[in-house]
Amino acid sequence: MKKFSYTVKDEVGIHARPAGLLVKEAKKYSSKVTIHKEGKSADAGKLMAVMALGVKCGQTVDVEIEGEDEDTAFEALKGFFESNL
Amino acid sequence: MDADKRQRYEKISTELTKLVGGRENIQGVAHCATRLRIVLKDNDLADLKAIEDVDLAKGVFVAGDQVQIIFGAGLVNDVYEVFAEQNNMKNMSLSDLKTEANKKMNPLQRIIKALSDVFVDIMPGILAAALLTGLSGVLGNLDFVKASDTLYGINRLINISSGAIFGFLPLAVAYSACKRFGGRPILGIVMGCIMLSDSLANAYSAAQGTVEVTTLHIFGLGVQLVGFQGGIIVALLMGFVTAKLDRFFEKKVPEVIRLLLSPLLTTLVGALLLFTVIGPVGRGLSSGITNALVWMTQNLGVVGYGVFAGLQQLVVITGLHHIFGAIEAQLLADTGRNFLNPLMSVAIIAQGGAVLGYLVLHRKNVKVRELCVPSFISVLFGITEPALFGINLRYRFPIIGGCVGGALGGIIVYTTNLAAVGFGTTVVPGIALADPAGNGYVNYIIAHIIAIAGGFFVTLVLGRFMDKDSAEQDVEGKSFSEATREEEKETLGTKKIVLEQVVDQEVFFGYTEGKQIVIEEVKDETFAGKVLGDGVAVIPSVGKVYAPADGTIVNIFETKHALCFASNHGTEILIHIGVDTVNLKGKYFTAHVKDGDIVKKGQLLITFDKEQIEKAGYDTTIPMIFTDLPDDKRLMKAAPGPMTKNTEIITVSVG
Repeated sequence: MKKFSYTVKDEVGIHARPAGLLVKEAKKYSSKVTIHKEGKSADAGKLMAVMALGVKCGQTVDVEIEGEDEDTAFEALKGFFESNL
Repeated sequence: MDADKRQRYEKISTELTKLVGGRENIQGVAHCATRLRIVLKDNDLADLKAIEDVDLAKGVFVAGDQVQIIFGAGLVNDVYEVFAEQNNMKNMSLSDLKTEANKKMNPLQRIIKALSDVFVDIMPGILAAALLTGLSGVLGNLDFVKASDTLYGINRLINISSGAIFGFLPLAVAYSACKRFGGRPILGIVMGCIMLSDSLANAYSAAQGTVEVTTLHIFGLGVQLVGFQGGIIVALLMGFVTAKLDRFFEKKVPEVIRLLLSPLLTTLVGALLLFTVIGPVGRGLSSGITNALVWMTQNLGVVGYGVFAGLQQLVVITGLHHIFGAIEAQLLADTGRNFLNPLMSVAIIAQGGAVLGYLVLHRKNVKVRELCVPSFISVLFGITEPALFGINLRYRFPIIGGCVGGALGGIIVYTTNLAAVGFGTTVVPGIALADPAGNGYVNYIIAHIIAIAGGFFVTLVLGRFMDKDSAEQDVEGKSFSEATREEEKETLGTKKIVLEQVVDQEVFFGYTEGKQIVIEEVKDETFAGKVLGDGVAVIPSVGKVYAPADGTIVNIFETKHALCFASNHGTEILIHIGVDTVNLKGKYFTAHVKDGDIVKKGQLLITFDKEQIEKAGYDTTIPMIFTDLPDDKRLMKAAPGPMTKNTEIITVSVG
C-alpha cells in the first residue's frame, strides 16, 4: 500500500468538477484508491462518496492506494492532486 | 478507522451475520451511498425486527432478494468493509449483486427479459423502417404515384431505405445482443456482417430458388453458403455467443498479444459455430415449424387454419417467416389462390389488437403510449416487429391475446373461404389482393375485425389477471415506487421500516420548472461531456429545486449550489444549480433540507435567487446527473420541452 497526504489549494475545494476528474483518474487503475478526511473515508472511484467528503480549501486529505498497479497510480494521482487541486 | 470503531463495527457485523440467517445464507454483499445491501438465499431466515435494533442501523427493508440496511453515508463504507471481510465476500459491485439477483428469475423469464432488452435498444430503427415500409406499400398502389416519375422515384427511395434495415436486421440484433451480454459491440457488428456477407447467397432468393447455393464440405459436414437475412433467432444466439467468446478470450489471452489475437479468435470461432452449428439448427427449427403449420392448413381444415393464424406470428419471432413467401408463390402457381395471405394478415392485425388492449390498460403511462401508437400503425401496414418485440412479447400476456385473436380470424378465413390472388402485402394495403369472388372484400374486412377484436379483448381480460404493473401504473402522477411502497415511520426514534418491492423501472420527475434541454447543450464541458455521468438539464424559469423522486439527501454542498441525492431504489444523482456557481460560495442560495433527510417527490430542496445569480454573470442551467449508474441500468430520457414538477423526465430501467 502507498500513501500520501495533500492539502487542497483550490479555493473552492473538491467540488463537482474536480471530483469528477479525480474519479475518472482513479478509475484508470485497478488499485483501490481511498481518500480519508478527518475520520471519514471515501472510495475515490465513487463520485458521490468523494463529493460527500466535502473537502474544502486548506483541508488535508490522506490518499491510500492499494493494489497491483499502486506504484504507477501513486505517481499519477500525486501529480493529479498537485496540478488540479 | 480506529481500533475502537473497528471493534464496534465487528460486533455489528457478527450480529448481522447471525440475524440474516448465518454465513451460509449470504450470497453477496454490496453497498450504495447509505445502505448495506445483502443478497440472501432465503429472505425468510432474516429477522428484520431484530436487525432494526442492531447498533447504528437506521432502518431495514427487503427489496426482492436483497435485505437493505440503512447506515448512512460514510458509515456504511466502514461497516461494509468489516462485514465483507468477516464473511469472506469478494468485492462486489452493485451490478454484480444485480446479476446474483437475476439468477433467481426462472430461465424463461430471463430469456424473455434478455430478448426485450436487445430489442428495446434497436427499436427506434425498426419503427422507422416499419412505418416507411407501410408508407411505401400504400404509395406504390396509387395510380398517380405510378404515373409521376418524381413520386415514383421518391417512393423507390423510401422503399429502399425501409427495406434495408429489415434486410440488415440480423446485424442490428447481433450488435445489440453482443452489447447486452457484455461483449464489445463492434464484435457483434462484425458477426452480423458475416451473417449478411454478399459472398453468401441471399436467404430470400435461396428460399425462392432463384439463386444457386454452394455447399462446402468441412469434416464431411455439408455447410450451405446461405446468408441469414431475417435470421433473428440466429442473430440473437450469435450475439450471445460472440459476447461470451469475447469475454473468454479477453481474459485468457496474455496482454501483450491480446489486441492481436483476442478479436481474431472471437470472430473465427464465432463464424465457425455460425455456419456449422447455430445457423443450421436455427434454420432447421423454424423451417420445421413453418412446414408443420402449412401442413396443418392443408390437412386439418378449420383447426389447421386456426392454429396457423394463431401461431404464425411466433414464426415471425424466429425470423424465418420469409419461407412463407416461397410457399405463397408456389400456391399461386399451382392453384391461383393464396389462402396463406389472409391467414397471415389476420394473425398480424390480431397482434395490433393486443397492442391496443395493452394501451387501454396503461393509457396513463406516457412511455407506453409513445410505444403503442406507432407500433399499432405499423401493424396496419403488415409490419409486426415493433408490436411483437416492443410490447406483446415484452409484457408477455399480450402475445397470448394476439395469438388467440389470430386463431379466431383464421377460423373466419376458413368459413368464408377467403384467399388472395397475389402476395407481398397484408392488412390495409393487402385488401387489394383479396379474391373478390364470393364477397371477398367484405369477408376480408369481417375477418380482420374479428381478429383485432379478439386480440384486444383477450388481452384486456388477461391483463386483469396477469398484468402486475397495471394497478400501480393507473395511479397517475405517482412514481411506480411510490405506489408499491408502504411506509411506516416511528415518530419517536430515528428508526424506520420501509417495505419495498423491486421495480423494473424507476421514474424521475421534474426537479424545477422551466425548459428541459439535452445535457450536451449545457455550456460547461464537464456536464456536456458527461464527465460526471449522463443525465438531463433544465433552463429554469423559477428559483426552486424539488426532489425528483422519493429518497434521501446524501449531501448538500457547503455552498448550497449542488446536492447529492439517492432515490429509494439506490439510484444516485447530482443536481447542480448553475455553471461555476461554486464561486458564489453559497450567496443567493437557501437550502431547505440537510444531509440525511428523507424527502418525498416534489419536496422543495433548495431555493435560489435566479435574477441576482444571472446578474452576477452566471448561467443558471441546472443539470441532473446520474453519477454512479450501474452498467445494467439505462436511462430513457423524455424529449426536450417544458418541465414542471409532474413531468416524467427520466426513466431508469433495470436490465
